[in-house]
Amino acid sequence: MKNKSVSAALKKNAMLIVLVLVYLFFLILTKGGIFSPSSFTELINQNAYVYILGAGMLMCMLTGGNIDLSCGAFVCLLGALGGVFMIVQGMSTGLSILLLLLIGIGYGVGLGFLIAYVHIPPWIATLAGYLAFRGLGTSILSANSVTGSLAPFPTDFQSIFYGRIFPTEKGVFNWPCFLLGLLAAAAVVGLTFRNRQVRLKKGYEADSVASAAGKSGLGAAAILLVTARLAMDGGIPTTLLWVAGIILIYSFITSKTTIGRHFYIVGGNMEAARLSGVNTRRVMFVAYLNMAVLTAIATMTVVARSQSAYADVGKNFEMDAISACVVGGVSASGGAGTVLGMVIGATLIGVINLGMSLISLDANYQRVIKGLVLLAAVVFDILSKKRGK
Amino acid sequence: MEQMNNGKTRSSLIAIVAAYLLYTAWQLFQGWNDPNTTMPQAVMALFIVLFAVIACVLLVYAWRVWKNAAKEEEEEKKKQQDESSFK
Repeated sequence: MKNKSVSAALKKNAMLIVLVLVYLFFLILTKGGIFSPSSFTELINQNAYVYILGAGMLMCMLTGGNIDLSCGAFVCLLGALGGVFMIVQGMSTGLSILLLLLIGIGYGVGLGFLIAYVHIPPWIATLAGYLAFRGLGTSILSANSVTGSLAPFPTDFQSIFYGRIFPTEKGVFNWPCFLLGLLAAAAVVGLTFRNRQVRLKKGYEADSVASAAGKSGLGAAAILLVTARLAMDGGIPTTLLWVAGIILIYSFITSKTTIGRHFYIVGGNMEAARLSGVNTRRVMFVAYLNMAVLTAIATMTVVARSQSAYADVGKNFEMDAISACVVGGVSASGGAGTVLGMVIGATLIGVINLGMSLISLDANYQRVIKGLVLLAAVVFDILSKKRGK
Repeated sequence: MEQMNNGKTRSSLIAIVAAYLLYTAWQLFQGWNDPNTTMPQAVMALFIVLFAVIACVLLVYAWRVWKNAAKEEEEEKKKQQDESSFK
């Protein structure tokens, strides 16, 4: 019995264990380089778009394995439009951000309508965007700039999406940053035990005290480690606030709200969901509207970090988001997927990307390794299913 | 009942991974004559072929998973129709 529970726990947390092992592997390979404060900041800033797009892609995938192929190209188009608004036209940052969000909403409404109500298969509808938007974005950039890129974005825009809160000098311990980390760690421990109490009160099965303490303790330790490293690198990046906010919101939506449960029900069996009274069309519509809005937010973090809008921005973003969901979701729950799973998947891919760039690995080797990671996740899932039968 | 569309979801995800591997093989092929790469051409060729073959295998597997899920769905629908006609 004990062996079964240990192997079940190992299987459930397989990707987390893999993440830790891969991190330790790169820790050795980079001679500690990946543990430096600047590496933690770079991991968050470089991969913010994966977390943000991954949250949206997860919602699409929950509806039955559907994806959005257009998000990367849409980032290019929105980046170009953002450059025109803020740099060429000199519009205020606030107005430009609002316009970009409205364009994202407009695209999401159109795309959601085509998929949910006209019943165009999502991969066809979004493939059209994948093919059209990059060309459109490139044309806009070429028409407004000799070099084919627009820069620099206003400093207030960069501070919103690529700044720091309570900034200090690098190398000086940032206490406000660490205190925020302490608060977050305390919140994780408190919420874990509170949820346990609520489950016990309602008569549901709950983790033992030791298990809850272990899980929340590990989570708190991870938060403290990250914030301690960030505290040595000038403070918390604003990108982290955007990523954390989005992750918390979507965790709440998928686990505590009716609409969130509807996503799982539609993905489980659309016909049964429809017969149960779930508005399946609305769920599909919301999934793609949501994806478009998150793409707009991801665009702003990306162009703020690169401080320019250029033709190649957003390349392969859709594959990175899909990889995060597949690596973190498919392996863990056989197709259902959770936000936490996506976060683990995105972090694993981010650590691999950062580790490979720190050791200056050739781009072709990087592609091979990313492909092998995705393949390993799918093979693990297939083997788990066969053993389960 | 829930497993049927989960079967379809799984097959979609496996097909997506297969497409990604094919795309990776294509990217490697595009970099075949890149003078800046440190990957030997023999290794590149090996991975191009490997990823292409694995992608095809995964696509076939995904199609079989989809077919089984669709078959189970048909059988379940027929069973429900039979039950409602008895009533």
